[in-house]
Amino acid sequence: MQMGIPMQSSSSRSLAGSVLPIALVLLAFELAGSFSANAIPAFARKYSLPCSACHEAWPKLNTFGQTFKDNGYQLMNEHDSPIWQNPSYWPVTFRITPNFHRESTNRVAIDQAGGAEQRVTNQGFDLSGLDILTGGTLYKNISFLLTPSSDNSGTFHFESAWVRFDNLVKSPWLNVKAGKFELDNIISEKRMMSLSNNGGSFKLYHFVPVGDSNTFAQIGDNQLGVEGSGHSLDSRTRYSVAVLSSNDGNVNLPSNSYSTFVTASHAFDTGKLGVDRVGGYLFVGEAPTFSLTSGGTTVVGRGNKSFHREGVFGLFYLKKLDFTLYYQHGWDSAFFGTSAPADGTPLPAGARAPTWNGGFIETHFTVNPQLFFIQRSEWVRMSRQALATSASNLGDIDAYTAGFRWYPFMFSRAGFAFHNEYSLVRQKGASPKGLNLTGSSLLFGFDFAF
Amino acid sequence: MHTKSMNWPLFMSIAMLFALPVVSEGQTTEDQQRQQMGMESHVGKLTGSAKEGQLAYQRYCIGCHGALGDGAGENAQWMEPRPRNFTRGTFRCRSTATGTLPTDEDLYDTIGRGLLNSNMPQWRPLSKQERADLVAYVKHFSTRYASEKPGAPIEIPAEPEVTAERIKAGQASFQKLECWKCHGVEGRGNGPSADSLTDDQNMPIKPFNFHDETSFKCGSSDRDLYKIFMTGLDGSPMPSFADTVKPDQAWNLVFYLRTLQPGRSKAKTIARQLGLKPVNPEAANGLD
Amino acid sequence: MTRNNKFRRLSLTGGLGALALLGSTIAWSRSTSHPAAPEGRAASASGSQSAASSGYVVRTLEQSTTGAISGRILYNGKPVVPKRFTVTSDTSVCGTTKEIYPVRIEEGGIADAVVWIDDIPSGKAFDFPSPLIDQKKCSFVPHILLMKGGGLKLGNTDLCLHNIHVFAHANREVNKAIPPGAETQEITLARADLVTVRCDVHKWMNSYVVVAKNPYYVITGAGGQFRLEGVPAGHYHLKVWQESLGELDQEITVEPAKSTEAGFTYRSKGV
Repeated sequence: MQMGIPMQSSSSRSLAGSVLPIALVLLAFELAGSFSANAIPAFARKYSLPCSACHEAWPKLNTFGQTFKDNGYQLMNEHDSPIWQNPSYWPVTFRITPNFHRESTNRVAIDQAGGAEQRVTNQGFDLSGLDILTGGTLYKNISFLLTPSSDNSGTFHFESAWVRFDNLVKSPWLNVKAGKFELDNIISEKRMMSLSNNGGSFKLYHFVPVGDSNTFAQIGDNQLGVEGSGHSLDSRTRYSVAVLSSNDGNVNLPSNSYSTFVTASHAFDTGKLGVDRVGGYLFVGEAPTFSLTSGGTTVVGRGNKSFHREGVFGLFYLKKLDFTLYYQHGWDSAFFGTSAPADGTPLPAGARAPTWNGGFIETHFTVNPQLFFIQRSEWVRMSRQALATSASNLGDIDAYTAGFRWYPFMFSRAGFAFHNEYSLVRQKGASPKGLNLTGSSLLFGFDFAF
Repeated sequence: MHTKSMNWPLFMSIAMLFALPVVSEGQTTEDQQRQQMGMESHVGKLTGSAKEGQLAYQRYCIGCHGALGDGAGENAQWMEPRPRNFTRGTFRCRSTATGTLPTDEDLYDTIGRGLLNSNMPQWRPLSKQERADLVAYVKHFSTRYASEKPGAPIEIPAEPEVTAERIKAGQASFQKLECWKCHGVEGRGNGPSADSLTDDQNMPIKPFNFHDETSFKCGSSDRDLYKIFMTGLDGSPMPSFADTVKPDQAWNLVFYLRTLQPGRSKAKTIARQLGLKPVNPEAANGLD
Repeated sequence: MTRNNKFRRLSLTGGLGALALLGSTIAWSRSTSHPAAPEGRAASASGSQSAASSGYVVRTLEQSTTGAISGRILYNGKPVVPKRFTVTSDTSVCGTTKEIYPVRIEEGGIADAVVWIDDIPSGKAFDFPSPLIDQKKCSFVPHILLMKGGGLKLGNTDLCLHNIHVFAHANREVNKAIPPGAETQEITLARADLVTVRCDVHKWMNSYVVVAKNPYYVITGAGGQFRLEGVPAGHYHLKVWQESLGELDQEITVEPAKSTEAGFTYRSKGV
């Protein structure tokens, strides 16, 4: 995911303050434009299963699909090694969504108006980014995923590139993955059912307070590192521990700092209603607050300061209706909160570590594997601002998304969904002039994968 | 004297029906299946219903087993072995005698465990209720369930201790019962009859290779192995030996078969101590 | 965005949703009830042998009211070529090659065909000998067996492993191993049926069991000769079946105290 220049290279805090909200909006654009959602017809072709076997409604996984993924994309029936496939089988899938969409942001600083804020609305036919997913097994119990991914202009980067050693010591409780991978969020942004610019990401997975310079700690972005994970045979109990470089998945930017993401969950078979799951996570680490340059080019990050995000989640099923609940508490060092470099310069007076609480509730109604309704309400509430002079609700977010997906066919070779969505996001004090920023997206997409 | 010249269309259709060396059993019609939609299953404390199972079947199973449960799903043409045809009411993995219907629990276990070396996945992650519902729906495909009850599970005595005597007796059984004719002298699945075996859909099929595999088609425990040769795998060439093998002899055979498999086991350790070697009866006779 | 525009958007989305709900229900039910399988599948198998219950009634018959049917089953066609199998297993018992003739022709007539009256509602009692299939020199003996619904004994005279693998329409599939020296075993074939029996250990071994609906079934002897006796006078369908050539039928009238001649000729381009 293209993140742009890390904020620590900007020396002016006010510049960071005005650039950051726009970066947030642009980030939302980029995220929606280049998703890496793992709906993989190549798996359907390899194993002769329809998409509905692994996905409640693709790309959202059901319990069987989650176990397939936890096994390292293996069915564990001794036919997983690629030697069992016809030699001409090639594990490649691509996904893209040509669409018609309408975006509207209420306050954008317009140069021609002398920097005054104006509403900007765009609508028309457009493309999403493209994901090329190649994944599966290299050998029995050695799996891989490689996802070259482009934005909607065709500029490529690597969304995922990892190798995983599965079922070490013949046990599903020990698996090791290395490379660039999605964090083990069971509520995965890569398999979310909303795609619009405003609705295509969980705000909490990327949230930084207004004026905060920590662009790491984005649990929605794929990261570079090593992960150890394990699960029970039916994946009812799962855990994972990942050690990551604090570079938000960007290559060539080792920052000599590391973070850890830990998560665990347990699922209950509730009989007629379905399988419910509860769990928690912790993301803790440090990242640089400034960098040293040589001839204007960044050479090393310095001034590591820490951060953490922690929370709980639950997935509750009532037959065709299900609720996903998520809570997060976040904490960034005061240096991040005030975009101050930790190079000996003292913090501004009254600077504190910003904290926040947030959560979302997402409701799904799966009429059948070919018709799926979604609604999500998400809130972020700052509980402590970095600067006492800031308004107490500076940076608070309210986000609402609603939509549905209709799949005209469901079989084992390819997938197609007619995607319809409306999303509205409001952030307090995030406009260039510090006023409330509201953006909305309306999306009609033809989401296909082969 | 009446001679009738050949009515070719009638002849061809009937000839096809009767002239095959393996004749397929009667298919159930969609109408007959619809009448059985009230089918229930009972697995432990769970009661499954075919109506609920239909939704799960359409989600998970239909691509291979087909909408009519006849093993003619759209993916079946590329699969080997072919998916099971539920309309015949013949199942491989049972705890009941050959020629009888399996218990609901047998079907439930097969769904959860999957079938080794086939495209049938382990559906264990599905909720217990969902699997019980699928059992009821699988049963509704065959009219056999309307007129027959499942067989009684065979009696399996408690597993005795592995001893050298038992392993030697098991080897003697392996020779006497001539298991090696298909499974081979070392259990590699390369016996003299192995190449010509076909299953009930006339597709080539290989005998189980003990030398390379740790798990079986129908499980991985000693008890599962016991059941396999004492009930036979209906639908495959593997017959039931229940009429000729006594339960105690059966356990001896289980222990001997374990010595042919990879991995560690008490049976293998004892066999190594004994210096047990496979016996090739044909070599001993100076034949073949 | 004004509030009006927002609500207009939402109602548009709602309307599309309703449309999609309708479309998806239709698509889902269609895709799951009519599979897009490229091969057609045979309709339910119904042969004249697979009637579930024949409803045949045994009654006492006066000699004077019954007649007989006799005749020959002839073959008119290209010479029959035997299938040759190389024996890979148990050559000491089976020999080194096996020749299996799909049709046994002697003096122009077909032996081991089954002739029967298909639609006779009542008559004499069943009088087939007690059914037993044995395996001798790696062949099933007899090659065709007639029996009434009930128990069937299975034996193995050979000193090698055989199995009896039964494939049927109206009866269950059964597979029993009969190791050398084992005692006779028994299975039940309750319903009228045409049953194929094979040994998996020896590929060429096939035999057939006809579970008869009524006692008026007979197997043709050498030269294709057959004779059915004690047939109540009447008008019936007479049928013949041979494992490779299939079935033929004709109508026949049986007169009391007379023997009606009936024959069939199979014309074949080669088997």
